[in-house]
Amino acid sequence: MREAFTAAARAPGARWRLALALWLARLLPILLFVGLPAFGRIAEASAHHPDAGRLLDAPSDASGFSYAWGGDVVRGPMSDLPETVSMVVILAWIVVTLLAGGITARLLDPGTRLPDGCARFGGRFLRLGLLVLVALYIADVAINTLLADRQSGAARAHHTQDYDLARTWTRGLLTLAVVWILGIVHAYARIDLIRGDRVSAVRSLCRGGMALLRDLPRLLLLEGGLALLTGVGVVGAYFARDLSRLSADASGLEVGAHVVLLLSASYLRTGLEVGAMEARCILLGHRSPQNETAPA
Amino acid sequence: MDLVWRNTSGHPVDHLWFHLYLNAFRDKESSYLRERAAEPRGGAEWDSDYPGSLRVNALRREDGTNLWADATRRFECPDDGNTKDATLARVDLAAPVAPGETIALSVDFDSQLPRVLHRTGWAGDPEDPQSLFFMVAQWFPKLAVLGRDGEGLPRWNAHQFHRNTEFFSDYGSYSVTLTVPPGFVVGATGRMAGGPVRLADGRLSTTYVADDVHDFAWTASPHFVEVAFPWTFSSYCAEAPGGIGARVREAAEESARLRGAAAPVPAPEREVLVRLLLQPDHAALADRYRWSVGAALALCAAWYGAYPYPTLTVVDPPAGGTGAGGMEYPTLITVGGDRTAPAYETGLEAVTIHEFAHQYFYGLVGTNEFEQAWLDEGFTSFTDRRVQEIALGAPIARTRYGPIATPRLRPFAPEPVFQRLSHLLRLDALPHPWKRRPTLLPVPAESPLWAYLRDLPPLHFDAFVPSPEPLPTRHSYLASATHDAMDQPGWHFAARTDYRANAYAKPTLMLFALRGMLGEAAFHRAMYGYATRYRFEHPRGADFVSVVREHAAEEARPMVDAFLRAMMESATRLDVAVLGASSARRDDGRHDWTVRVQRRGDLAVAIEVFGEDDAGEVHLLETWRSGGSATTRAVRAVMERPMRCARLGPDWIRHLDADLSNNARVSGGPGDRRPALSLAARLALSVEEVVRSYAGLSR
Repeated sequence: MREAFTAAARAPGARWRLALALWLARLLPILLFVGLPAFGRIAEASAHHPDAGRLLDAPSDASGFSYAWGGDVVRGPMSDLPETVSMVVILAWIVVTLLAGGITARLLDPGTRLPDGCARFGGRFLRLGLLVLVALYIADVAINTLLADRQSGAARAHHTQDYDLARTWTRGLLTLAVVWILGIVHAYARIDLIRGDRVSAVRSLCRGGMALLRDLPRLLLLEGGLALLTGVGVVGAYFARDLSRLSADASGLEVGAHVVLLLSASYLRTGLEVGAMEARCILLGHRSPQNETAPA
Repeated sequence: MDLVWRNTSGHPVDHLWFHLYLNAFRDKESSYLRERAAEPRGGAEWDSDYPGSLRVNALRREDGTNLWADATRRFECPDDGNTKDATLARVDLAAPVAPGETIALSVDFDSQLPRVLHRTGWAGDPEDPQSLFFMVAQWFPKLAVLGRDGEGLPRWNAHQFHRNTEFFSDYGSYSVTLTVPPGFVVGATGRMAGGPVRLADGRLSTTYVADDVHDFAWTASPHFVEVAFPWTFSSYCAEAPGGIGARVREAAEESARLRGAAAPVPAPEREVLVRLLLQPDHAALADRYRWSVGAALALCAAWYGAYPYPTLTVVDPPAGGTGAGGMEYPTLITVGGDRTAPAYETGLEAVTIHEFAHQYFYGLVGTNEFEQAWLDEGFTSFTDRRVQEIALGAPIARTRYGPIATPRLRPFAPEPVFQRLSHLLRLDALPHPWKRRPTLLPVPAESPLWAYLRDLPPLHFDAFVPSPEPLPTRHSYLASATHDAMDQPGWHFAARTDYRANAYAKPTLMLFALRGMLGEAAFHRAMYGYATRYRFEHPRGADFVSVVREHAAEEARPMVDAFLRAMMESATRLDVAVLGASSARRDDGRHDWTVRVQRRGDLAVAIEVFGEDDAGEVHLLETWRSGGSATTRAVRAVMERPMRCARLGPDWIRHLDADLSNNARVSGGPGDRRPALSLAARLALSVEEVVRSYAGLSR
């Protein structure tokens, strides 16, 4: 367990090539489809505006700042943002899933080349991912059926919010638990798929679930710890952003440093993702950090 | 039901029109449900197992003649020709009612309430009477309004019940006796005149009377928790916590000063008995209702004249009957509380203030909600925003990243940096009674960690940043600005969003802009004059325009008139822009300034063109009265110093301007791309958070 956590925490540095590949795979389409167009459109609207500097620190400098103007800058020409983000999410899901085949294969067997792993397991990972989506859908239907409006119950308790609140909370917590557990099972299914060189996504998913059940306390402890580590990453990213808040008259260098800091925090979180996967590999006993340089 | 109607038209009247609104919920063929099916609105759905209906069994004159017979009664469908709609009926009288005479009618009818829908009906378990909540509205055959046609002859103004319309009826006096099962608490329009009396079978009977009202609604439930208190302007201003009372008094005094009145409100000691009928788990919200409705009572009295009724009932519907919430009836309003909403969320206050403001624009000024919804919803929305701003502070917030405006939030004061760690660790959650300050609402400390998490796109809600802009209203207006004209019947709007934009947002912004055009004093006088002159009458939009003309300065009248008519009758959109700003040094050492200005859209406004020199001094270069066909103008001036930037005014134009980002421009220079870099990077990394959620390494 200790080795697993150590490996997870060290991954941003020790596994920097894998982390960088994953980070860029996600970030490049975002920069291409969101970041650059946003820069162009915002620059077009704000570059010649005398108050544009206030966009740098809008929340802390409310006095005199026209939020309507700020809104117009990003609202009108960027009204297609939700559709663009949806498209990027789908694209990134496909790219990251293909890449995950290579990364996981390399974490399990350091002798595997990343492109080889992607080519060999990427397609299977895509099938597995789709299967998990189907499982999520079925779980969602099951939860909704379970918590379907009981007309009489709702009617009897209609004069307070208790019934609605209980149903909302139950649905939320159940959904959260299902998503979390399916996420864990999915991760172990990926490991199993590579380890057994399996073709069947269904079988791998079942074996992922069995792996979780077989070693439930230890794996839940690991996953709890990884969630905590992710939380630390989120807070770290917060401090990175908050500590580097800009004033309206910040220089170009300061703005650049701010952006670099944000990118660093983002990379750190991606590195922790790779670390989490490595920790799972270690804990399942398929590989230990000591023999990572040994040939496959 | 006994009904007495007086013919005030000056001409004989030989027929009557009745609204039978509950028949809108009878079957799917009603115009209301057809329109609703064509564009689902969400919220409470029509339940075919529990429809609503209003059946008239007989309508008898004093001589016993039943007018509700096939020969004399027919259902009418003047709006859409839907012969299956039964929400409007015409009854022919055998003998006309002479001018000034009355007709007495006895109506035998059965009303069946639907499961709560469109602000009327019941909620609860139909098998268990003690679980039920009733909001009884539009429940009796209601006479239409007898108006005049273009030639001054009497003409009934009557329409069917539509999805995008509300109600229109005439003023009268009501006396209603309500009998309910034991244990039920009743609230109703007007004041209690008798009872409650326990009948032999244990039921309770109460009589309510109301004068000078144009509707009568009531509610009953065994679960109501009643909180009653007397309200006077003076006591409210003295008692309202958190400085609210003082601010309200100050605003009322300012209004009186602008109008030249001696007292802030006409009768500061006039008492109104306010009854809050709350759900049991909302009892803790009583103070929020109390202070918000009190602020509205005080400020509306200051701006539009005294509230003339002795009572006001505020009904908080249950969780299973929220479809009854957010509605106005004479001296009775329905609101909506949510005990789980964070204390800084002011939806409760906003709805309460809005529904009370309807007591003026709908209640006292009885405009036609069928044909000119903007005259009640728009004026009410304008009023509720002003009350909120005075009582609660600027209610608009925006996230650090961006484009989503969130209304109805109380702003937070910026926190000093050293307090952030304390909040991050939630140390502020520990009791600090010595630090407690009296406020209208308990304002929780803002946690910077929560602010960060909240700013991630999946949680992208609010950042509690105060702003003077009525942003959501403006965005709603701009989204539909070119779709429909606002001065048209509700059922003519192509989409629900267009109806709402034209009934609520556009007139609200029009009034904000009008305030800027007229100036505070003239605007106060115009609004006060309109509200008091047409009290207990049915004015039209043109009446409002003529009142405004009376109070506008002589030279401003043509432009004000053109502006109001364009806002009412057209679907234009305004965008004023600085196309270019330049400054060139002359041989004599001075500078030639040139500002190129453009007006897009047909709205006639006076555009002020300002130039700011490099020392920060602002000069008004020209006021361009931009009506007519000219859409661009080059403004030139010779100044002592070089120009730094050009800006457009006046300030109130921001309410209607479609794009504020082009209202100012620096003179020359390569442009500043720092903000774009920072904002685009933050946006991209926010999107990365979304992508990470869905496309992580392990999923």
